[in-house]
Amino acid sequence: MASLINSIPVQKPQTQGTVRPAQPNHLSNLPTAAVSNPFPQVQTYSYLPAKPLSPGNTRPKGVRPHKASGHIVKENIFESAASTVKSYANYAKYFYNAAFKGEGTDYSVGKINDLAIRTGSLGIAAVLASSKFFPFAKGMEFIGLGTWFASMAVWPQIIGAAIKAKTGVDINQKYIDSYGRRKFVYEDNLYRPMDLFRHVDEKGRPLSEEEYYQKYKDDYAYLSATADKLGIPKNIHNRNEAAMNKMGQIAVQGKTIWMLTAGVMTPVISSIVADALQTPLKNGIEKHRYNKELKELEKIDDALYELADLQSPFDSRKIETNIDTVIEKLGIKIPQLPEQELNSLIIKDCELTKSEFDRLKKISEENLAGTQLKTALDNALNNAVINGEKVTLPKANMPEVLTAMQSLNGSNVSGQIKDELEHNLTRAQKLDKKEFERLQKFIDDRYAGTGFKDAFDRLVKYEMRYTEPHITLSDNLRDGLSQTVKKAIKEAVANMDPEFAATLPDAVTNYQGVTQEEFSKIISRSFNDGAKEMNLIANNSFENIAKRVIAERFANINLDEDAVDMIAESINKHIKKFMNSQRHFIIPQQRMKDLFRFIEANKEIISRIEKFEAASIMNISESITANNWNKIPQEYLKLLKFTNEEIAQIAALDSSSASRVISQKYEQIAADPKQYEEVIKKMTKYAQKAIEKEAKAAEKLIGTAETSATLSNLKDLMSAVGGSNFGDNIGNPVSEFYRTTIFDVQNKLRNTIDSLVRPIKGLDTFRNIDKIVKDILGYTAQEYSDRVYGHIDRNIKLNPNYHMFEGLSYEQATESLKAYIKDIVLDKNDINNWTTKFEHNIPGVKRGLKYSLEIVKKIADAVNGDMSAETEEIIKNAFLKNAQESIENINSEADFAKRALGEEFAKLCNQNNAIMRFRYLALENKLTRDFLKDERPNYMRDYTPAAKIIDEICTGNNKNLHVLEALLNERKTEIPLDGIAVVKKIIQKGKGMDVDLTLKEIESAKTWYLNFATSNKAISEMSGKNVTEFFKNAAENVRSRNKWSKLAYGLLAGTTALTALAVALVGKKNYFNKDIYEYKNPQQGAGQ
Amino acid sequence: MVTVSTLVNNSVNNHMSYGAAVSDNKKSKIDLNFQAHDSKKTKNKEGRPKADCLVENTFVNKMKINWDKTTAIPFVHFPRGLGGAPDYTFFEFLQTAKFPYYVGGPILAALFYAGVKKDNMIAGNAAKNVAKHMALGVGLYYLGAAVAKSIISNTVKAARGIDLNQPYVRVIPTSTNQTGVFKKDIEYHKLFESVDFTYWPLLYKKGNTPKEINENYAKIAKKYGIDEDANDVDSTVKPLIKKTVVMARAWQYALTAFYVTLGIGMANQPAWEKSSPDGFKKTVTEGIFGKNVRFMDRLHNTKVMLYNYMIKPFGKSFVEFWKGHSKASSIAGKSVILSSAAATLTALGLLLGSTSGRRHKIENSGTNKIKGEVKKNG
Repeated sequence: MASLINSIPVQKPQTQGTVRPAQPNHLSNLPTAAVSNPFPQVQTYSYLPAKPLSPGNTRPKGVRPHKASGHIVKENIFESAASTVKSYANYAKYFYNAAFKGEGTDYSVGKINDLAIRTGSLGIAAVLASSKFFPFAKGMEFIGLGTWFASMAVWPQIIGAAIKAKTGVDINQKYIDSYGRRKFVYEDNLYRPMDLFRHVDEKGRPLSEEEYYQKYKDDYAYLSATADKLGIPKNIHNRNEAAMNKMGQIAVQGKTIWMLTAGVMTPVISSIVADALQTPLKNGIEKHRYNKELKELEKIDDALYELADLQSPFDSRKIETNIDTVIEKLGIKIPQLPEQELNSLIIKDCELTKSEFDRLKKISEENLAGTQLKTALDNALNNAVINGEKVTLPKANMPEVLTAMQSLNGSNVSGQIKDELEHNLTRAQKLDKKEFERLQKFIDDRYAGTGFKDAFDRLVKYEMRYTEPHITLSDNLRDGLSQTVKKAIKEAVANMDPEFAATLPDAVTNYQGVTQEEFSKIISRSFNDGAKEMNLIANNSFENIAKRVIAERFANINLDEDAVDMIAESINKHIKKFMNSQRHFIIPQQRMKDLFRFIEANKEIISRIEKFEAASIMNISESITANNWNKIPQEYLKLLKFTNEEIAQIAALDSSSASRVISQKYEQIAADPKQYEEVIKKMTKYAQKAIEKEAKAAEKLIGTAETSATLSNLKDLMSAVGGSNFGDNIGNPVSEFYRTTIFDVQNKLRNTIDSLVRPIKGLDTFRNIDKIVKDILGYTAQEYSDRVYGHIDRNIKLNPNYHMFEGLSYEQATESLKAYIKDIVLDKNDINNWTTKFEHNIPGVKRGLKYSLEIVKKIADAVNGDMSAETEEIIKNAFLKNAQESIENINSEADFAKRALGEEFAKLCNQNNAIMRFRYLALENKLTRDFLKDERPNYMRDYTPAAKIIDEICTGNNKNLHVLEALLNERKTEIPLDGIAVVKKIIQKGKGMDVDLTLKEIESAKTWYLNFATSNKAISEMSGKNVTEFFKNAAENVRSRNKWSKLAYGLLAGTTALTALAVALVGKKNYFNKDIYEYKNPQQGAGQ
Repeated sequence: MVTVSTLVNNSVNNHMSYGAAVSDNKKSKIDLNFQAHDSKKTKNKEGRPKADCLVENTFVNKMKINWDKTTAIPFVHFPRGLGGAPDYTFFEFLQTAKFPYYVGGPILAALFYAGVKKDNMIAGNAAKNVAKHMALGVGLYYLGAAVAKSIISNTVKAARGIDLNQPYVRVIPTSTNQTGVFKKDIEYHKLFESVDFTYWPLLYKKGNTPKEINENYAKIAKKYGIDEDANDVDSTVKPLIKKTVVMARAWQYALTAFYVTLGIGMANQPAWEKSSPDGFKKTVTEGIFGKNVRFMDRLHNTKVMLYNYMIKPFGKSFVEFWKGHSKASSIAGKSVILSSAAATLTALGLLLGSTSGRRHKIENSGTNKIKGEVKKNG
């Protein structure tokens, strides 16, 4: 710039030769003195106009001001969104220019800040999302970000709209300035771009000049219209400016209100909107995930059907058992790295002597021509490292060699050569103790907790050859043994009293170790000719024989008995230690690798199935189950109409206090038939919907009682593959693993069903509690007394701790039992809480109270029996619209379907109750356990619930057939296949009213196929949540939500009210704006 | 562009109004509006400056300015804004715009925390951790932003002698407005806050010769590697300063985006869960400031507070962020850390490299040495 100014030739003196025509009034024509100097004290400069260097080019170009082209922006919401997107592209350009070239203006640098804030926030959301494991949580990070910025943008629009409605001034009005930059009209209060409003119509729409003058005569129609609206007097000077000033006041006020409230409203609106978006996002993701994983599952199904003819009966199935084919068809990719790792664990360098190496070379040349082994062996021999007498075949080449050796089995290579090869080359797979432990650790780490480790353990356990330490009979062994014995004797002598030691014969003190003859003797006595190795048993005899042979040398020497003992002990110890150090383990390289591949394949396939489970039934965040559990219990809670205090009590108090609150609510509902019906109906609807989703997913995995599905098919396939390749020892753990997986799925579904059905059944029990208690204790005091105390000597005083009715009147006992049953229903569903369980400790009543059995049976029925007829009917009609509708007066097809849905659910409830009843009763506790072996078992042992049902069915009573079916299905992973077949036969014959069954079959079915005590699981694991826990969980969620809503909506309401108040005062005359105008006619003004 | 030499040569006597000028130096040939004022001599009775002037960028001044600016938001700017004062400035609007940031974060955190389950012990502990991560997140967010800003401003200050945070006082004329001014007489600004309308005159020093007057510019020019005898050292260096300021601001914003992400990422790591806020509180209140604690123990507790509660988890969280706990988070952590480092290096490289005077064509003809002329004239 400086150089530019200096280069303008303002003072270039005129040269003498130039002649210019005289111009009148031109400064240069005046005498210097004629230019008067108003400031004589300041030194003056003579001024001569510059002579243009080239007249044509001196007229400055581009300096003239452009015509102002700024204009008001009117956009609809889409145009505005589009220009926002476009402007971000511009901001990126601004950043590039500023950051890399240092070019920019205040405007563009400010926009870079906006861009950086948005980008930084996106980065934060991405980082937070990446730290979340589940898609919904990830998504919410971005939703939160989006709603945050959206509410930041939307709140000024809301304030703006309110102010516009009141005053007609749009404080968010934007314009594009002459440089094309987008700005707010009221951005800077001291800058009033009034020209923008010159050609704007009364409603604020910008018009072109022609359009404008067609409609209006004068400029600023908008300003005068706004002035009218703002109540600015008509008869004043500069009315448009007055309007503009008023608009400025309103804009400043509006923007200040915005800034005052944005800090509260932005997070509040963001939080509320994000909360509202949760459900659709959750549902969308749930559906998407489920469908995606279902597709993957179906791919596995297709492959399974190709691999095995799984529909045909079990015995005659044709199943592909080749591991490679199975892996390929199922599309399993086994990671390469672990296999290499395994290779390095089971194969080591093969150490040979020089002579052995030369011999191998010779064998390769002479005997192996044309075999697979020759190529592999030559390769290994060529890569051998020769170090004097020692030769090492590197382990990298050994896997091929060892694999190729198996191909020799069918070839015509002589047995002797084969033995020699095996003896030398299998050294690569003989692990010493440390190496073997490393291998075991690898397997432990990789398969711990997967259920597959057992397969490896069995490979190791059942195939003796591979676990038993082997000791090679070699020169090394002889030398080592010799040195060991020498050392042992020396040590024994050193430990003796020196005086005594000096008396020992030379043969002892100067012992030089085992000779070659002695060693040969040991070998020939211990082994057959040609043996090269010994196993654990041979090892023991070898040790004994060795000791004996060593002792032979000292047989003729007369030694002190103590000295003999000491020497023998030392030799014993050292030989044992030495032999231990010589052990090694031969690993079945190929089998190990095959098993490894097979197990990896299983792991891989199960991880794919787990993905499906994670999307559907697994107890893991964002699965269908988890989403249901976040929703349904709260819906139940709402149905019961708890007050906020009650919810707080349930959430915060201990479970017995919480259960008291729930109990009161249950009593209240059970007492009112109308409310009872409504609650049961709604609970049914929620439960049915939630269970249906899970049941569908579970069916995809484990099928129904009749059909097989992915997991059961996989179980059949994999156990067949395992069995045929590795024998049943290894096939069984694999099949066991799948059975456990199936059981887990089944159990998960049972858990959900039970959790959702239990609150319904609980209400049912509450409603019928009077009848239940009377049924148990009798209808009169006499009946009660007879039943409870009838068969015991009343002279014996029972301990009330052992007997819950001791010393209670009929009324008291009734109340006590009612409370007891309610407690079981809501809180403790385990028979372990039965308070008479110690009653057999009472002297003389070792079998217990006979009636205890009846009481337990009846309580089991009350808590876990079928729904009462009334409740069952309500459930069956739950899906019908009208409460009065019943089976008699429905006729449309849709209504029949709804009724069928209800009936189906009622059946599901009763089946669940039945299963729970079995689990409840068949527990391992003191009532049912046979702990008094020497005495008569107590009465509880006499009760086998399954027997009762089977007896019923055999006598043609099919009432409980569905229960039997459910029980059978429940235990399908626990009982053998033929067991299921037997019980199915019973069911079928029962259906056909055929009682001609073998007693044996009935007996076995009664005693263990349906004996739930054999499944060694605690009831808490086998059942769903108890009712209190269920509601407690829901209450916690509701409470935290309530706290949030209170805060969010409270802030929303408060801030909105304050904003409204402030907006109402906008534009009024005040301390800062006195609204003093200069009237055109003073009289008129005074009048106003 | 106004330069000292054109002023001298043309003897322009144009009263441009950058606030109220004080004519206490009648000998100078240079318009007093283009000279800096000595803030000490020009204070009014209340101790406020009477004319626009630079304020030394010291810690005490910074604190005072921040305090004044922050308290002015509720007591001056909001009342004036709510009243719609006709002389309400854009600066005041920007000041009020800080208020939502003070309020919004805590309210968002409160809303979030209100929705977290706290009723059982496990949920309660989880909620505590959530709260802790949130508080830490806010803390490390601001730390990240501060670090990003200071990396750039320190570099620019050291390399080019430009203090991006150089404050100055702008005196607001109180007699020009018909409504009077409500509690408002000065504004604190930063010298380089605007690249279009930088308040250049404040950098000129009081003096009689261009050399004296241009002292600040000459110092800056030297840092840019420009010879002292360059033509009009002030006008030579101004475009370079502008370029530097634009580039520095752009990178400050960009690095802030990176460093706040890094800060949040680190705050989100489990390393912070190991130490409890109660323990920290106790260490500070009882261990360091408690009664009857031996001096050596206080020293030890200070070390514990700094190392165990801050430095150690900070370092650990960095490592955890780098490693991640899943594939996605490990990628995210590494890419945030690496890109932050890369952006920082790029920024420093550009700021040091491309703003240098040696990379620009500098007029240095020696024909326009104002030094001599002024002597002759004076």
